[in-house]
Amino acid sequence: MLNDATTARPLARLTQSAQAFDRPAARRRSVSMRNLARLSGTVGGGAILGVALLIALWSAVYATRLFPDNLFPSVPAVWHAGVAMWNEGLLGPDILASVREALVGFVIGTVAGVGLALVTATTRGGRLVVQPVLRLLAPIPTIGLIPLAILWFGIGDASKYIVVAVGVFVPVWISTHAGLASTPSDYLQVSGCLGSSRWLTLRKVILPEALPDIVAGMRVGCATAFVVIVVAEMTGTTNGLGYRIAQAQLFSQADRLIVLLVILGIIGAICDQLIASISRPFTAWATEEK
Amino acid sequence: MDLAVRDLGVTYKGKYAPALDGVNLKIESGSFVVLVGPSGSGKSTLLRCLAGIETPTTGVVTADGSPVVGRDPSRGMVFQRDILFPWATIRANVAFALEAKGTPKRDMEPIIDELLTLAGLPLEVKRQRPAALSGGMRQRAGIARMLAGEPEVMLMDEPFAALDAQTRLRMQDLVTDLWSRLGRTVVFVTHDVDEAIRLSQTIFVLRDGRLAATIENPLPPDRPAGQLAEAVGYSDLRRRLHDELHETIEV
Repeated sequence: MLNDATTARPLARLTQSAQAFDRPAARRRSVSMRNLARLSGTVGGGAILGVALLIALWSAVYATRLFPDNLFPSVPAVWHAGVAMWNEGLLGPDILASVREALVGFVIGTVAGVGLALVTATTRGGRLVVQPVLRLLAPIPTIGLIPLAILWFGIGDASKYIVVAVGVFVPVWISTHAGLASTPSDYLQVSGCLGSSRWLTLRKVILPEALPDIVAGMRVGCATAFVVIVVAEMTGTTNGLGYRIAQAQLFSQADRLIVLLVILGIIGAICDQLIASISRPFTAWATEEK
Repeated sequence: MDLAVRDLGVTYKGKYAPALDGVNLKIESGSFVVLVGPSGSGKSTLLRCLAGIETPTTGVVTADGSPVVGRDPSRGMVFQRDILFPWATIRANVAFALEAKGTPKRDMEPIIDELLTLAGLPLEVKRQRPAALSGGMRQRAGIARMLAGEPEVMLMDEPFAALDAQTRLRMQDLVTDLWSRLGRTVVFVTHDVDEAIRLSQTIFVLRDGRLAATIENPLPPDRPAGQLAEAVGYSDLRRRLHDELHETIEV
């Protein structure tokens, strides 16, 4: 029979060594958790964490096998579909076509939106005549204009530029008009007391004050541009991401469809961040004042 | 610039009582006038009429004998809130006033520096936006911008109401200094009796939209804040002003 005291000592030593072995692991765990927390605290880190969680969730649902593979593909299958599309040489030209069409339409829509907002917000004629017409036209869904645009301008680029421009115009015009028309009267009184001309007041007071609203409208317009271009490309065209989405749907290629949607999301996010970054030096004051 | 107000009346839409009712007064060129009265007595409305921001319902405001119609840089205004343009740097805020006046861009820098120095601001603030400055510094920048318009009359609507006591005293010193150095007419609105006594040559007491009293300030021109209460005539003036304002409360 073994003495309790003799067995107790090695056991205690074993426990101690086990604790000693566990301590660095625990420390490692806490360090990695701290790093994770630090990473998620940054914008990029947060995005990576969010995407990782989404992939994990997708994989978990896939693992249940509730849906057939061809409708709900695994994450690796989606990745392979993307690589295959890239190797086929389809993705690059399609992305370029969609981005070009969205960009041209976005520029036209933004220029028209800001320009007409200047008319409707700062002139009597614009307020009385142009504004009611635009208010009447603005609620018309842009998607509904696609068939008409194809009828009028054919299936070429022109019809896509037009529908994207109209889609971008509406949010840009509404936001810009709201921004320009709501300049605090204090600022206008100050500029008036200093003898500022109408033109100087517009350039140096009304426009800079409305800039955060204009940028907000542009960001919404940017997102709208990609929605509209995808729908426009689904009809009567042979290139662009929208066309590829329609093709993937036609051939029940869910993996390719998901790749295309992810690409659209990435392009949209990049464009949105680009607008935000370029405009930040001119709109930072709005957050500083709060 | 001489200012005069004759039978001035202002009634706002939807308000039963007029904001101003039959006010008559004269402000001589180069004088320092304080409009004092409780809230709602019409002092800010009167100042806005002098600035040309408010159009009177009845009566007339004249500047050097000509009727005041609309705003004019010759009558510069400083508001209770500094109302600097938050998107622009302090330099750009002052440059705006110079540009409005037609100053060529190449001539602006030395003028901006001079104005900021005159308003007691270090030149380092030029590149900062208003949000980076304290309340007192913002008001100084607002005064510098007003001065850029080279006003003959400085109209100030409770400009120091939102500042702490120490900053307020320093700003009072600045306004007194500017007045004595530049020799412009100053019309200053306040509801603070001590501020009115310290700054004024003449005090107009407003009550319920009417001019209740005109009081000449008997105190010597040099009025250090710490010794104001010891000045001969201070107690009588303070009592009289309190009586005028107290009457309003009883009404």
